[in-house]
Amino acid sequence: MRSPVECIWYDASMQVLEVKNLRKEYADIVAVDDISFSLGRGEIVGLLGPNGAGKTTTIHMLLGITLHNGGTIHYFGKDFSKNREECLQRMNAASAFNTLQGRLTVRENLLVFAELYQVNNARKKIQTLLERFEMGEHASALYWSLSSGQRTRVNLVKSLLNDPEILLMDEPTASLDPDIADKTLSMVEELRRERGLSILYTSHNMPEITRLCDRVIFLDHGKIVALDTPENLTKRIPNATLRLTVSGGTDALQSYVRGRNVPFKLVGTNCIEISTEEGRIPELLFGASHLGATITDIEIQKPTLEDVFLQIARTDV
Amino acid sequence: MNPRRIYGVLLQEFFLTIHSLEIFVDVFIFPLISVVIFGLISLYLVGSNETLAAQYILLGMVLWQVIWVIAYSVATGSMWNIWSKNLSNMFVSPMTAREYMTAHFLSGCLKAVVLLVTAGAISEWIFRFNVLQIGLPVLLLVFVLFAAFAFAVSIAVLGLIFRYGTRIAALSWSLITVFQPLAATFFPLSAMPAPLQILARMLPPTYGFEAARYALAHHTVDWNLIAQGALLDLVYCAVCVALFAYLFRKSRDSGQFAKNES
Repeated sequence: MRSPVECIWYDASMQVLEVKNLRKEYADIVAVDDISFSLGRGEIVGLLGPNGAGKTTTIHMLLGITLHNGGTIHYFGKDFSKNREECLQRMNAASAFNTLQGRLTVRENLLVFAELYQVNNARKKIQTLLERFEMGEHASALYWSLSSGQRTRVNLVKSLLNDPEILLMDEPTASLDPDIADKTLSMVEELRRERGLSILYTSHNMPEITRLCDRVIFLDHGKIVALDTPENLTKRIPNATLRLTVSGGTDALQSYVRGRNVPFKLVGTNCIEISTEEGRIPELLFGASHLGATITDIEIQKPTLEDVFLQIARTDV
Repeated sequence: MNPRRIYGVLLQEFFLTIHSLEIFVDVFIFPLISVVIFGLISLYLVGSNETLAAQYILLGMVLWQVIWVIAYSVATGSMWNIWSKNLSNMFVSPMTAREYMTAHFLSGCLKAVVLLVTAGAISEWIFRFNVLQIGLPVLLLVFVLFAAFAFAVSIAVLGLIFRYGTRIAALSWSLITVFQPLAATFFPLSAMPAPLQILARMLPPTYGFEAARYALAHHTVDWNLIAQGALLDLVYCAVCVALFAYLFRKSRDSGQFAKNES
């Protein structure tokens, strides 16, 4: 977990969002089923799950545009349903699925939101933020004329206008090319580091989640099926893959591996792929190096968050 | 209610209006064309010695624009946000539904004033008919009666759109026109067929148009008509505000509010 050392604001014990037994039912479908979690100050929590898992419904309930049937949402220790305006004034949201008014210029759109959030010195703040996101020269462009990457950056500017303490981000990099997505992630990291921004982040991009998030919530069929750090989640899959390429055939290697009851498969004539517990890899490597054959390449693939996601999506971890 | 947030929505309305030819045409050009057409008809009737009837028709058309523009502004104004997938952005800000509706109502009233002044100037300049012949107090009272009715109908329509989705979006600009023939807009209530008179008496604008015609013919205010219209307006506003609140809540409860933009 990288954040506690990098971010001076990080304080998971100081909860800025606390969700308890949140529930949403539509007629005969339970979209969100009694979920509970919290978000600490300066913490980034990822919300993951297959399509239909309840991520978007959860975000919509947290923003108040969908009403919940049960449970409670507290921001900064205050009941959201009773203090909606006060809570929303201290937070913001950015989604790849919402856009601003296409017929307005970038600056006009942002001026509107600056008023909704009662931002002082709005024009100056808008220009500063636009420049920070390399969008300064597009301030007078009509929003619809921007590329999707530029729109995403303007949406991010909108979401930072009120200096939020909490940011709810729904797949913010969904339509971005890798370069811009990387820049966006760096900005998110920077914002968290600078001002202790707490972020609830949904994405289908696993490397992104692994890079950003301190904790990850896996939702499936409306329930939380896992809630842990990315590192601990990947440890739930004990097996890693060891791929060894040798010169002069794999016969000796096959009988060595077979003798230790480790499953393997052949990849071509000189390569063998072994699936085993991560802890056994040094022992296997040591043994293989004493078989007489020359090992020309070693590749170790540790389980990733994507493997965990796939397991959860297909079965349960 | 927070004035800055209301100003924010008004600012958006202003920017949208100056950037959108459609809105400019719907709110200013079409209504003024209607005024010109009805002005020409009234000129023809003046030639047939139907002076008062001619003035009633032109007066009705000029005043009708107040109802049209405010209803259009409140109901269709939100459609631009839904079509742009921007309504959720607005409603996840601290802005309340009450502030949002108030801003759209104020925007509608401002547009109605601009339109009324322009239409009044055109009818005076081209057709030699001064709307102020009914008197400024009556004009103001009728404006209030019509504004309240337009607001009531349009928030009910907007509530229905929030609840049932954009498949009924056409109601936002079309439903209000149903009331034009029913509210005795161009002719006295007594000239309408008896069954339609019953319907007309249930509509607040009927009393506004009757009061305007009375003032034109007698140069005085019929307070009885104004009072009846105001009372009906109160009922309409109370019912429609409650209906909007109910439909808005149902829309968020069913998840339709968020789905409207998908």
